[in-house]
Amino acid sequence: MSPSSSNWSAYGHRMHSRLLLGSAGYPSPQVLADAISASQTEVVTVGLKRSLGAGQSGSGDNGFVAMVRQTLAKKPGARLLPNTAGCRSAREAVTLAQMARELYDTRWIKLEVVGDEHTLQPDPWETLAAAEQLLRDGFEVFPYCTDDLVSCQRLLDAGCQVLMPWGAPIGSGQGLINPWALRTLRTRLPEAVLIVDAGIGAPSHAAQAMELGFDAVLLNSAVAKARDPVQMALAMAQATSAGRHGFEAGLIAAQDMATASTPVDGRPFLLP
Amino acid sequence: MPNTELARQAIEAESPLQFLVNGQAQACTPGLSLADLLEQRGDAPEAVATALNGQFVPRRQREATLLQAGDSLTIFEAITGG
Repeated sequence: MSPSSSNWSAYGHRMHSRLLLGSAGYPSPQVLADAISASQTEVVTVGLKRSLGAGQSGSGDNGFVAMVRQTLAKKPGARLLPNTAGCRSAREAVTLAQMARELYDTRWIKLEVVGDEHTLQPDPWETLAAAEQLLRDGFEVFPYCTDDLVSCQRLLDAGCQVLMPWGAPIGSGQGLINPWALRTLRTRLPEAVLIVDAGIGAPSHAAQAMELGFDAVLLNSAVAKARDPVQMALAMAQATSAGRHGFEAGLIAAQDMATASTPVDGRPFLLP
Repeated sequence: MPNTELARQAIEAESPLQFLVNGQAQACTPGLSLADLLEQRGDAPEAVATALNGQFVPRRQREATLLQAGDSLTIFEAITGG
């Protein structure tokens, strides 16, 4: 029997899987459902969009969200995490979050306020302003943020219990472009629940984030856009779990020079 | 009074209100509630969320929310997301 890595919790909700999965961009609802199952995730992100036209509400997404709901209904404790994607201001994000709370019947909100169109970098000021308002309104906020230590600290000061710094720009698949900053966040914010969100492209990236001591990873495109999303979902689940096991086991310190692993003291050599 | 002015007044008197639904101009009659509009569109009440002029309108307030000329209504629905 393989040892099980520890549970974790966000806003008091206990979970085992440390992989949060996005639901966008899958080739079909069935592939999405199979990927969710293979990933063993307990949290799936969803979004909101303007309704296309009269009488089309609920059918404009070809049944993807219905499939997500149906798949999660089979997993006790699994939750939806709606986002505020597309927002450019705190005011927009707060309004969208209020709509998401009603539509998905959850206080959880992935707060996403973008400040730059090219990098989709979060706007730290608008994100903080929105977080403060949403926390006052009873939301449990998962802010998508940069890896800047001070702005992360401000979000914690506002009352966020979870932070979701980017590993790299959304959908770029570059992995962790600034491991030092992420390691610093983990060291300086030991009480925060830290989730690397965005930029993960390979299972090794997920494992790296977990080895740094992050509590979880959130990814979407790496699975949805893979040639075989279901197999990639499984790979991400295993990598996330492996990285966490590694962190809990304790990584050895890296050093410049070799240290023989095989003991040679007293060994009988054949040649003089 | 010229005939054209009489015609204009007649049109204005009968002309329904104009407001925006997801950015598109739409006509409605005075006294139309948000709940009425959603019903006209065929939107299931629990399948959409609404904001009027940028302010969230909870489901329970749709009946009492009357649409006015110049209003901008946004109707959102669930979609996949990252």
